[in-house]
Amino acid sequence: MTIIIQLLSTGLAIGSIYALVALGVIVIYRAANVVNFAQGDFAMAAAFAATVSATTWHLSYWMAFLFAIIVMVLLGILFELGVYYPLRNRSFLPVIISTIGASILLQNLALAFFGPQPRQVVSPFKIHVVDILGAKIDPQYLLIIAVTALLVLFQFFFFEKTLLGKKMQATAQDKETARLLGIPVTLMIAITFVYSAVLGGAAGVLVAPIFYVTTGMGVIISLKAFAACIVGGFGSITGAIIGGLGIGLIEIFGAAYISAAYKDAFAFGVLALVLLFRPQGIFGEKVSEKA
Amino acid sequence: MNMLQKNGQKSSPARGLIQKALSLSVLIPIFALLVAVMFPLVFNLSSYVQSLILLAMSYTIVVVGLNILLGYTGQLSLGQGAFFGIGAYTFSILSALHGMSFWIGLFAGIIVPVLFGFIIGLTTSKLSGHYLAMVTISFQMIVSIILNNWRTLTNGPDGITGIPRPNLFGLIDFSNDLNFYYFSLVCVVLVLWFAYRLKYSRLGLALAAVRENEMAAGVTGVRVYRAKVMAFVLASGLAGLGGVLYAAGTNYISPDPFGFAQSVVFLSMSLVGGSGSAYGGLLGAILLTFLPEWLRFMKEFYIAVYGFMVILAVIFLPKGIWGLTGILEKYFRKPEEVEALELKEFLPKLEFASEMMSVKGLSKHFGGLKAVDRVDFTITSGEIKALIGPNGSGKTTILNLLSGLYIPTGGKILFESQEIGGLRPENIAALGIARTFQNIRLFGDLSVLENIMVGQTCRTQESLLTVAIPNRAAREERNLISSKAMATLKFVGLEDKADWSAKNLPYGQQRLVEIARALATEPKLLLLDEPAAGLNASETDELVNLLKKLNQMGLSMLLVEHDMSLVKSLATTVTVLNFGQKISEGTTEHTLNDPLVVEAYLGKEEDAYA
Repeated sequence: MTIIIQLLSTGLAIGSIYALVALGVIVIYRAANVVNFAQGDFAMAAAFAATVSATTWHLSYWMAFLFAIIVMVLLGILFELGVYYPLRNRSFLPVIISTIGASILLQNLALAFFGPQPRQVVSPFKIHVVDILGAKIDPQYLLIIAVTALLVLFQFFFFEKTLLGKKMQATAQDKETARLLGIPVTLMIAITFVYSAVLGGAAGVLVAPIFYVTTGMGVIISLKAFAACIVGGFGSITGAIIGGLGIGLIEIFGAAYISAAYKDAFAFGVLALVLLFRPQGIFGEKVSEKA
Repeated sequence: MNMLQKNGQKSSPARGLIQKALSLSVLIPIFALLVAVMFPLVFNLSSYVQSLILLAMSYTIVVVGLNILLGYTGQLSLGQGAFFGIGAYTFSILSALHGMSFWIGLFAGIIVPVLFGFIIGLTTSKLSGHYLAMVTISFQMIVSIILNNWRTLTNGPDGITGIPRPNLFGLIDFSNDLNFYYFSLVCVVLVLWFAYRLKYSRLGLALAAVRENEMAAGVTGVRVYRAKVMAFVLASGLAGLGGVLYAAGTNYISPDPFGFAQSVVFLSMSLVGGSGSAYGGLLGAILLTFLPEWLRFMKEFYIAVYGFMVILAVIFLPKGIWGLTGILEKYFRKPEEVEALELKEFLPKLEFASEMMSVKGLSKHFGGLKAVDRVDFTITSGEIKALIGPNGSGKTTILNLLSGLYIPTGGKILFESQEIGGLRPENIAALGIARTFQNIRLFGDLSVLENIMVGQTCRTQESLLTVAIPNRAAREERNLISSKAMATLKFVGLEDKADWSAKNLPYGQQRLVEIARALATEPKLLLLDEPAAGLNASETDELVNLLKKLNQMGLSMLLVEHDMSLVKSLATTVTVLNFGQKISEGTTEHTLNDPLVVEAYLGKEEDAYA
């Protein structure tokens, strides 16, 4: 039983990270119809921003968190202007390639500035384990789950209850009509990119005390997040969250009970099965082109 | 340039051959080849540069494969590195670990990736866009993980050493770098030759049609799934060949160079060089193999700059660097001179007044919505039947059912006594049913003539062998196809626009091209979805005349239309739908005055004054 709780909390924590990044992917996808391959690199960039600021200026974890989020706001704006905006009227392929280029760029800028050595952030908690029903759990895992839950709640409140959120939804659903109604579509998309960068950034700072912070950490997070999006149903917010948590759990339980060496293969194996048998994912709707 | 052959200006065949041999499109590749042959003899290259050149050559083959998949067929793959790895590993395991000959290893190194490519292509043929990208990424990740972890097979991260180079029956030994360079050069040239010919072959045309518009390709008779699987097979086979050359070139492999990062590099090479042509692949592979070397002076920033250049290339060079030569290409490839046939000569002949199509109890439900509900009607051969009804009454759904885009929920569609409900669009096209779309679906980047030539795909056969080896029969068949295409183009009066890009035509002419493309499939029945939508009055008149002329040649038509004057002037019988059900049917005059029909369009009188 204790082992199950242990695995469950680890799986949910890792899954939360994937869910946050997946959420960022979906928000951009809905608003701009772009699949952002650099989403995981947002997490990487924020993790570096937090780590480097914490060590250089002796900031606390929370101050470094705040600093990283500010960096992400700026990065989101830059990203929208440099990577998406010039290509906004082209088909999906050039934009995907452009985000891949951005991913290479971000990773290698990080490499150039911060070097190849992995870095570490110290957890903000004084205690190392929390005891839950006999299971020993790292409080950082609980923090990840809690912050993710809060962000997801915020997301629902923001999009359903605030005017800005509704404007952003309108933009996502129909740009032309939104424009006719006087919604500044370009601004809304820019805000979406910033929001998405912040989501990715939060994931990065949250995971930093658990994993080593490396320039390559974003790629694998990106790929797992995509897997989460597709398993959940591409385009569905709920799908991204459930998909993320699901991938996290499958990975951790698979590593524990089947094979640790093939840990990363489980997510992609599940993804391949979903794509073959239910390509629209769990919450996705079957879309077919109209003649 | 006039595409029509001018009488009296025919040059003698021999002279034509000489001219052709002297044209730049032949001279430049020959010159490039000579440079490639002489290069290592003239310059004394360091072994490091030599190894880079070998690397660029193996990459070229992989990237040309990717271009066939991405540039020719429009399928995004981020797993090319995995096929590259499977080829390299299959070859190395057989030749280095199990002592088999180079040639067996080479053969297996191509066949095994082809098998994987075939399976991936087959299982993903219904996916596209980012879904396809994700499947290929998943495949890539799983292959990387297996290469690292299945130690008994692959030696894991330690890799495989002592990989042999070929030896041609003891006659030529390719083990030194210079000879192996020539061996690779032969492979590269053959691959480029094949890929170049493929692009301008009928198969290449079918691939391009799939890329430009999958749905239109299907109803125009292109076997879409087959085309996609073929593209995957070619791409994975070439990746495998590239992998074999890579392994033999470096003599050592480990899982690292076959990961996701490598797939991204291949994709970058394809896009920066130009994914639409074989030469683009060559250019991209060479450029991005050497670029990091040239950027080394920037020290740790060089890969970042590389990423930045990829973004710039995508923004400013949508067709890659080779795409810049598009202007030159017009000069290289003179427009074909095509002699038009007469349309009457090849449209199928019909006996009049027999039952051509019979639809019984046809239904299509989307969940609870009964878009089409138990509809019956028949089409007599030689007639023009109109299908009318208010918006959302199920007219286009019926056309989609008849042309194979939808599978019926219930009922029968008999075409010349054969059940066609649920057949694939290309098979229905082959049986003799063609269609046009309400929102025009042309292959935008293809020329007008090429658009129409796609329509002939279901009337001819072409194998990869005839693409690879020039032969008279294939050439003659191609000429026949272009003559037929020209005939339909002449019929719609657009023969002077044959070499325009379809997307550059004005709207009204695009409609005509779509009709010409449908005619090129040699149909017996033509399905027209609001052909007059968006046309002005004179264009509509022209269209009516055209359709009447076609009808006089014996072509039957089913016309979905809102323009009642058009319906009156063309159709002999009318079927009226409302809310997915048939509400009236009969001769045009009679049906249009049916009170039920008037009510469906205008509402009841009480409603009107309520």
